[in-house]
Amino acid sequence: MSANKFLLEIGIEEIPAQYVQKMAQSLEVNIQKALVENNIEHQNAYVYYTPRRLVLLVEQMSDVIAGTVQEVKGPAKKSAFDEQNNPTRALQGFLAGRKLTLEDTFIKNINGVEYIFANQKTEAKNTADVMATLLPNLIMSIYQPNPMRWNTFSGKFIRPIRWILCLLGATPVNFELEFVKSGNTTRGHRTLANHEIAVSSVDDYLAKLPQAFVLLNQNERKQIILEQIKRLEKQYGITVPIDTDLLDEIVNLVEYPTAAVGSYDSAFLALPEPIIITPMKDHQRYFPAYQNGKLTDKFVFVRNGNDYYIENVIKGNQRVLSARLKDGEFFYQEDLKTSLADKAKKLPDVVFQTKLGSYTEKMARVQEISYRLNLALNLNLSDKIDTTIPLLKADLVSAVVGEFSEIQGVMGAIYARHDGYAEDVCQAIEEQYLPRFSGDKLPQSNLGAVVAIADKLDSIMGLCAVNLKPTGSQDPFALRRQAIGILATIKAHNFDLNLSTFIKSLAPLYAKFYEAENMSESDFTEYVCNFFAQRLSIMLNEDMGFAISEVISKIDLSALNMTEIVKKAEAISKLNGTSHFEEMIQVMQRIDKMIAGKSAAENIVADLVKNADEKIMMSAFYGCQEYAQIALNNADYEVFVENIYPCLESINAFFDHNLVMSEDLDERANRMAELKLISDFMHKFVL
Amino acid sequence: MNFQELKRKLQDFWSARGCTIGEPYDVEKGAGTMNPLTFFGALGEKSVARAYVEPSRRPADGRYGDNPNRLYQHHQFQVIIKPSPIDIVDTYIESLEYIGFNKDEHDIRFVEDNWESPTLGAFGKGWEVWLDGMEITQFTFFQEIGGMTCKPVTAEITYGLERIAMYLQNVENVYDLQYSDSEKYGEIYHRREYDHSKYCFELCNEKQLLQDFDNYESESKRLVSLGNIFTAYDFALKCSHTFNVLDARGAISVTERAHYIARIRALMREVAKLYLSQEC
Repeated sequence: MSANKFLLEIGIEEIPAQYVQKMAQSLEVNIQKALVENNIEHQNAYVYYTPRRLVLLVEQMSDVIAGTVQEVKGPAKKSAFDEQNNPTRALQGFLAGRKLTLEDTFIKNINGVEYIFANQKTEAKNTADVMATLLPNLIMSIYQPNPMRWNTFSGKFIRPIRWILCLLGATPVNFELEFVKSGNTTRGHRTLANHEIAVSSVDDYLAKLPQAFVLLNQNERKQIILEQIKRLEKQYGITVPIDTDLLDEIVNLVEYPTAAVGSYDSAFLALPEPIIITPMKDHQRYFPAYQNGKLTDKFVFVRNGNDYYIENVIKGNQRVLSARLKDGEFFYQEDLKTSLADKAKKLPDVVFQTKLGSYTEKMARVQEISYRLNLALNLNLSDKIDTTIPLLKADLVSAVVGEFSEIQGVMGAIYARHDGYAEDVCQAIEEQYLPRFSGDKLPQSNLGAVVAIADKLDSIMGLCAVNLKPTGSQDPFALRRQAIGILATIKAHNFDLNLSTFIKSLAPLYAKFYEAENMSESDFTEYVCNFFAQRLSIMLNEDMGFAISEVISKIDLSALNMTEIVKKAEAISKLNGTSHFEEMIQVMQRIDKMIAGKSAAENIVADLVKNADEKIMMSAFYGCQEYAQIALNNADYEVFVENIYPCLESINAFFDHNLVMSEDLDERANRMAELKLISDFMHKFVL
Repeated sequence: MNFQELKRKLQDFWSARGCTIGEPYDVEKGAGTMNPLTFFGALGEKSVARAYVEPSRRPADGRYGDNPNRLYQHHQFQVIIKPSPIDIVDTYIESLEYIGFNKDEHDIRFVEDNWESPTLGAFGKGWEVWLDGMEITQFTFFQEIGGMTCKPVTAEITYGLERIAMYLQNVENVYDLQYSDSEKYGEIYHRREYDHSKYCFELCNEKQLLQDFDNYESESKRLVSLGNIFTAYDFALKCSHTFNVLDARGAISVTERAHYIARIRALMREVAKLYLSQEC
């Protein structure tokens, strides 16, 4: 038995960049799992990917799967043989099922009962043979979000599979997919070395690929691109901020990167920056360049190849960008011919969602929600809301947004400024879509926050009302991200909002929608509130790092009061393990255990309190409660614990020295009411 | 290389690889895919290999002859092969070399682009091909056409001839292209571009066109009911172009738009079904 290197390379016609990494990781998971399940000894598996290949490399894989001997348990001896000492059907079945004979069996005593046992042997196997039977399935079960068919084949894959190279040591692992047979050849770079290259071993493969202009290791390609950009920054006196998503995409678009600088007519710099940057980044995958903090007439792109005739490539890219900028300029000039208010007149024709109607109808709801938020938060913004809401979505009908939808809002703000609206209105229009993705910036202004929350809340409530709720991995309207956006905005602005009550108060706006879906008002609001509570819990855990069982599970999330909940989470994280807090929790548990399922009097009657410990307990509690309530009102939970703490000892004393369950039923009910009062009060902080 | 040589070279290249060289179809259309050579070629199981030039009209892209890159009508060079050959991408790159792009002197990329034609009831998976950052070709493996599953799968390669020619001739404005040794592109097409743009955006008779659409639609349906495949298809194409003109004119609201598209798709689907039932 010896250990060899194992290599699987799946050669594929260009894989969409967005899926390359996920597919490679899925391949790795599939194979790792199979190696373990099949007892294949191995060490150090690595996954590599380029636009044209998914590669799995194992540094050491045993070429033989050792045979095993396993003790297996059969029927009890007394049911294994009949009176003539012949094997019963039970024993025959056991032996036949495992391909054993009577000679393989022996008796073993377990807890005084004798059982038939046997040694089951498996033969040693050749790893290459086992891999050959496993790989077709492992390859075809790679995660593929959007696969296709080609030629006459029935199977689907992300793009046509062109070749498969598979070696264990120097031995080809031979298997066959519907599309292709595995072999011992690879191919080089699409244009620089697109011929078959015979590979004799894993080391041979790793040595030959760079000669064929393929840099297999994605991290190496990324480093090279970054170094090249640094060099160009120096050479051209420019700064090139690295957008990491763009960089990752480019890494998956090239097998052999060469970065270069192109330029464009500086007259275009007069255009609003988003019109220049959006086609550069989103359409052409260029990095914009800056000088002294200002956009300059240069850009960096990455060629898939070497620097041979790079001047051709630079010129071509400049020509394309120039045409795109000319288009952008044309659209911008067209847009400036009408005011934003004029554009808004077309919104009745723009459908938000078939059942929920046009953007005009949506904005009527958003305006109502904004008013109510303004009122609830006491922000004094109603005039500003009146100006902003009618303009909010007007840029959706502009030519620039028609071309570059990703800068909706941003363009609206630019056009609003052009039309001379107050800066806070313009800013709110720009901020309405924030945050656009997890970790994005949040609306800064109060007005921006109000319209951003109102717009998202309408989308969530509206789409849930027409039953377009997110399910499993399906969330086509990104409602989960929008819910988190609302919560993050409330938190950042410290808005004191009971979101749950607020959502319930908005339900009538959606009545005709959810009623048409046969949903009751309470089902509808309960769904929306639960949806938010789930997001909130995830956000507290994943984004803010609070532990689920130690912190989040101790907080009542149902009111969806973001500011209060976050303060509670912060306090509990700090207080966990401190003696006063732990003692309070113990007392609460002691009380809750006592009163669970017992009936309590409706009102506490002071005259019924005769026991001295009980009297002390209650007066200690009332004394503490007054100050603790102030702490609650201030959401100052550490102070709350300190203020409650002094009465804990008297509560324990009452429990320690008395039979709480008094024989006198009135006294008992009165005590239960007292304890419930204490418990309810403490639960205002922790569950 | 002038424009007509470019067309001829592509015809020579694909002819040498077994393609039938077809002709443009004489009904207005938005894309080479709508030529019956492709629409019906992609349906059914019979092997096909065809290539042809297709003048394609995109009313919304009309710019009165003012824009150096956008045209009411541009020319596509269309190749379809069924079943899609295993080495079709390699062959395509050879074709680029054949028309004058040394592959190692350029940056050739295949960028994900999943083509879809809601009016044809068609979609495919594939790429747009970039040459030095410029999209020069749409490369598609048809998965469905006329609402019917494509099996075997057809590979469709659509070259944007003007863009490629501008690159080869190193001109910045499409109208400056040398069409033949004696004429420039602008001499032939500039006034035509202006007139058609003016017609689509300003002069067209909306009421008449809406009426035409209804007439073409009912004629297509009538012909399907009579089992006459290719004429029914022509009238569906006329619906499609009429819709495109109305759309460019802004005569169709966003809500109605989806409805019109669905009506055209329904016609295409009926024609495709009829064709498959008879497998001509």
